[in-house]
Amino acid sequence: MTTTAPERTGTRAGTRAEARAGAGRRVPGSVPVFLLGCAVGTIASIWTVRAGTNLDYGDAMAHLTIARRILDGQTPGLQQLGTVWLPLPHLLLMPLVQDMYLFRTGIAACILGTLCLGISATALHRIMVRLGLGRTARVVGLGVLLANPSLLYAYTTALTEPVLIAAILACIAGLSGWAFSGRRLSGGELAVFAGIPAACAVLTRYEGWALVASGAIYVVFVVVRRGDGVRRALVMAAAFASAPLAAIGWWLSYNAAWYGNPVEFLTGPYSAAAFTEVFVEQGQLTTKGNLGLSFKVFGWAAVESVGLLPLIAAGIGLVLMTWRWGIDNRALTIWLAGTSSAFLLFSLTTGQHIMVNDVSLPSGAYNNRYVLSAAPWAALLCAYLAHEIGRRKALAGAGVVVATVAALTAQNLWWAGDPGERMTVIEEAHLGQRNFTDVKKMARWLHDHYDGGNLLIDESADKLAVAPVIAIDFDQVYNRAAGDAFDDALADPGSHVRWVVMHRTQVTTYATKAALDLVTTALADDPAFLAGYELVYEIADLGVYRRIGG
Amino acid sequence: MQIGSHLVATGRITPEQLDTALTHQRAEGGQLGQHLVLAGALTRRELYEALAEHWETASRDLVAHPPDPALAGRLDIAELSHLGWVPCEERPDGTLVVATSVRPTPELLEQVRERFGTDQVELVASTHWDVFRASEQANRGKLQRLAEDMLAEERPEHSARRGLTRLQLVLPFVIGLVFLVGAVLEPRRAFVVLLSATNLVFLLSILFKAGSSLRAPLMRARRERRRLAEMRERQRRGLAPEWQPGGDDAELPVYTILVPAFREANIIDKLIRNLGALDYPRSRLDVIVLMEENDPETVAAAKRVAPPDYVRLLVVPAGEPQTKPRACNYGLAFARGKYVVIYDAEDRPEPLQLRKAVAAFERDAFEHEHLGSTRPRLACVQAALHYFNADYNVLTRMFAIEYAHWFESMLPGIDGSGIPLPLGGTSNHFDTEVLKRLGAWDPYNVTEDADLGLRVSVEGYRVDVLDSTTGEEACATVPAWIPQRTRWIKGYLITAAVNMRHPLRFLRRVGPLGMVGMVGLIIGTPLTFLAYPLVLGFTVITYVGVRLIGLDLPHWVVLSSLVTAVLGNALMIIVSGIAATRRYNWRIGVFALLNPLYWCLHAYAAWRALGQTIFSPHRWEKTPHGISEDYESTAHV
Repeated sequence: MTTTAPERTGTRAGTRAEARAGAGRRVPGSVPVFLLGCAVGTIASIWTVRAGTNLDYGDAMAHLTIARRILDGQTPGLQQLGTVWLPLPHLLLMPLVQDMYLFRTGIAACILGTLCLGISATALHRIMVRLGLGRTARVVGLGVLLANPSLLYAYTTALTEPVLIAAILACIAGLSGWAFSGRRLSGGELAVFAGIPAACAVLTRYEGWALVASGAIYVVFVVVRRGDGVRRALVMAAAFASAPLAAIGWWLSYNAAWYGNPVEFLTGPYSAAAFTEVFVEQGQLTTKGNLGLSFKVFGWAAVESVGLLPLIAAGIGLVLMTWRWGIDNRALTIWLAGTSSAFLLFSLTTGQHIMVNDVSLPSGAYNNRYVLSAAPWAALLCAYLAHEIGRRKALAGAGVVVATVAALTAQNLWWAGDPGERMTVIEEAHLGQRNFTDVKKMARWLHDHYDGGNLLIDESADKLAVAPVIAIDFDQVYNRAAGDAFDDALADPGSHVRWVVMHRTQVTTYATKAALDLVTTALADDPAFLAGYELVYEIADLGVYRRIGG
Repeated sequence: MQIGSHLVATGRITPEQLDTALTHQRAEGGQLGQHLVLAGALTRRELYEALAEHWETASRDLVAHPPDPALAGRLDIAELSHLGWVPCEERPDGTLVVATSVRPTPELLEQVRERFGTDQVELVASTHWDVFRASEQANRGKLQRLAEDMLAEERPEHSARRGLTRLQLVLPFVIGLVFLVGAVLEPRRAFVVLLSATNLVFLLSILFKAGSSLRAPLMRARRERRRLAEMRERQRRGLAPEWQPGGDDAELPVYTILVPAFREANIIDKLIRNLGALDYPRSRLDVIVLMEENDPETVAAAKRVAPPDYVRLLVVPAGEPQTKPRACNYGLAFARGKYVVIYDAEDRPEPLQLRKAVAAFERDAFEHEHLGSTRPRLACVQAALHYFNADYNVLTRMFAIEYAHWFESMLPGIDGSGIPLPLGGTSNHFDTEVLKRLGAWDPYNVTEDADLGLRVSVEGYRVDVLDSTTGEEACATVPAWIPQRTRWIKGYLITAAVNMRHPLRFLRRVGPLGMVGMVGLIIGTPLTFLAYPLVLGFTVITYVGVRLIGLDLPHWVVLSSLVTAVLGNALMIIVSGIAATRRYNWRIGVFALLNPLYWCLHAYAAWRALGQTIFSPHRWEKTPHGISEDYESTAHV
């Protein structure tokens, strides 16, 4: 096992030069790779926006809606962030979605996702340079990341994956930059270059919280191996963890301030636990307590999202890396990228997370996109494999590139044969698109016929989070986010709103109270309401009501 | 026979060495012997032995045979810098033996006669180093008093020796007491008043800083327009496009560089190297390295380096207060230059800085003499400071951002407005005579630079910003940064206290703009940092408290606190980020986002400074240099 920095282990002049570049502050190629990532993201965005698929995920529309509510609505403010999701993606989307066009089309998310893709690619590149991986290896790593259609799709939507993956990669890039620097960098720099990205990850998804733990352990390992002692190691680990811990502290304070419970996000009615409880009650959370099934479900999601060929190459890379590098600092850096996968597996096994795909019980397509955070890990391992092959023979590098292009092409062609079936992330989008067909039709009708006045709608009810399609200013909308004003409108719609959207009969498919349509509960059978409003549009069980007389 | 020919004839130098020295003399002026010593053709002592032969006098080693202190101590210390001779002993026959490093002339004999009342003089040759050292040794007591107490005794109103007045000492306690009583009797109202007051202080200070920064580009544009207009006019008159001070290098004035070096043994060699990079004729340079008697390591290190002939090592006798301004005052007595500048030991001035300063002074003189300028006379030009270790760590980045904002955004914005500019601790160039007239530095003020900047204005002179920069080493560790910043903030508090002993008198002397400068810069800076934790903390407390614990505060208080905290911080982030990006690059500039955290450090230092201002106003906490060793970023390139 070796713990030396990569610059000391290179055997060829080129490798040494590359390693030297990796020890410096600036990493050559960062800007071109960032531009490449942005270019790929832009192309993917154009593709999905033109196809109209970027708003297929219901959650994507919900994220856009939350982001806009912070500044636009009956009661704007930070409290609109809510506790269902961690806040950073909404805060980043917030300035973009204030423009109605960017909000309505979802291009706001495309812009954020494209920038995130640029950051992700750049961070991956910087990690590979820090590890001393050669040019061929870096091309392979970037290829695995940027030629993944599921990942590219996710980066064009308002899902949380773009921000999460970018933050995780930026954090690891910061950690590797610190670990392999030519001089001892300070705790402050570690806090800024690795801690702040970790804080971003912490405020994006709970995988980020696990990254803080693994990152801190990594820091301790590196410092102790340098011979700087445990005390110094703990100081540096504290420096790394300071920003993410502050972020966690802020999140707990936010929950306490607005909901009177610092762990509202964990135990509240809108929490993931409350959501999974439904599945538990119905006996559908079969991965809970079943590591084998959890691994199988996770693995299948990975195969369908990352690709079989990249995963095989990554697996070989993992074995080879462990054989050659053991668990030295370089290997640990790559292992760091597996944190989110380990956390996801843990969450599945402990019942904190639901994932449904072809091999789960029951089967379907739900939440598989979470596995996309494993894509950078696979990319790094593939890059390592390419590095090992490429450094052995003069022409091997070109061969590796050709083989990679061929493999990725073959993988993508196979996926393209039936994306809705072979790519679980796309499959879920298709399902979403199907499930929202009626409500989106209703929303488009309302958008086209809206002639002013206020609107009453319970966007938190099942599949009514279609605000981007309705696309009217939120200060005209009475929904749960409006707080007391929503209750006032429910009690006396006639004096508050011209328009009402609701399920004509209560949906009871899901047992959570959060999914009930409160407008339906209040008004569906209210004679006074039915006398004062007329049903102007109906589709499936949904109805649009307009106040009689305007 | 000329001395050059004599040196060749006696085999001390070669004809080639003489030719080279003559060439340098023609280009730069100065004495031939000086050029020969600078070129290493012969030693100082060899030169003076030759001069003794040439002058047909004896020579004297003043180290082996020092002058009679009673005699040499009779010299006026105001003359020590330029006399070039020192009385050594009075023989029984009444002959006065005078050691001289300058050519014996009837004028020299007349000078001796005037001061010692005798025509019976025997001149002996000695080196200028011997004469300087002997004069210094014999007059240490007087020099020490000059360095320590002259300002306090001759202009007590400008000295911080007295510290705070009774009223100034009591005032903070009274304010605190009033607040405490208010808090007991009317806690809500007291809290609202305190919160509003701190917010107001913070907001006004931020607006002053941001406003100055926003003025900077306008001022730059105005200066550029003027420059272009002048160029057009000069071209129309058939002159060279840009005004240049007349003459060539030979006409450049002697320039004194004072370098206080206390506990700088580790960087003394770099100091010599950095000053050697200045583009100024060596024969016109007069570098005085000021070391402290109780710092033998630095003295030993400086001797080991064996600096070139234009560098003089001066050991300042131990005394109180042992401060940088005291050492500078001591060195100023020996300054031979028409202009004088202070550099810190680790400084790396831009090579052309001295020439630019000379041009600025001479242009001011030209405008007054020939163009009837009505502006106050120029007493000082302040060069900008940047950090050569800017991206060493996060702290150095923050420091670099702060300096970029201060020197390259805020001061240029204030420049020309009539508001007095507080000087930075280094790279401030003075007209030596004016500096002496002003009373030089206050050794009891721990930010003697800011104090002097203000005194310049009070005395009817002005300070300009020089378009040149000096590289400094940013303090790279928090434990070193805190004492340094404490000292700076304490110095501002004391400077404010000294000048505001009689506020109305101060207002009459400096006018409204001077008062704006005093309030906005000298008082505003420490007050802002003192208020910062209250602004930040209270905003959080009120914002959360109103929701969590039912804190009953007027809505306008909560809202204005929030707006002030957010707007104030955002403004500072933007203006300082832009300034740092302009000076360095975006990689440094983006760190301005961490400004609120950096200001928390400031706040800690400010409260520490407030305590020291009351209990130990003259305590000088030395900033260590050389922490980042040889690290040099490329961020400033």
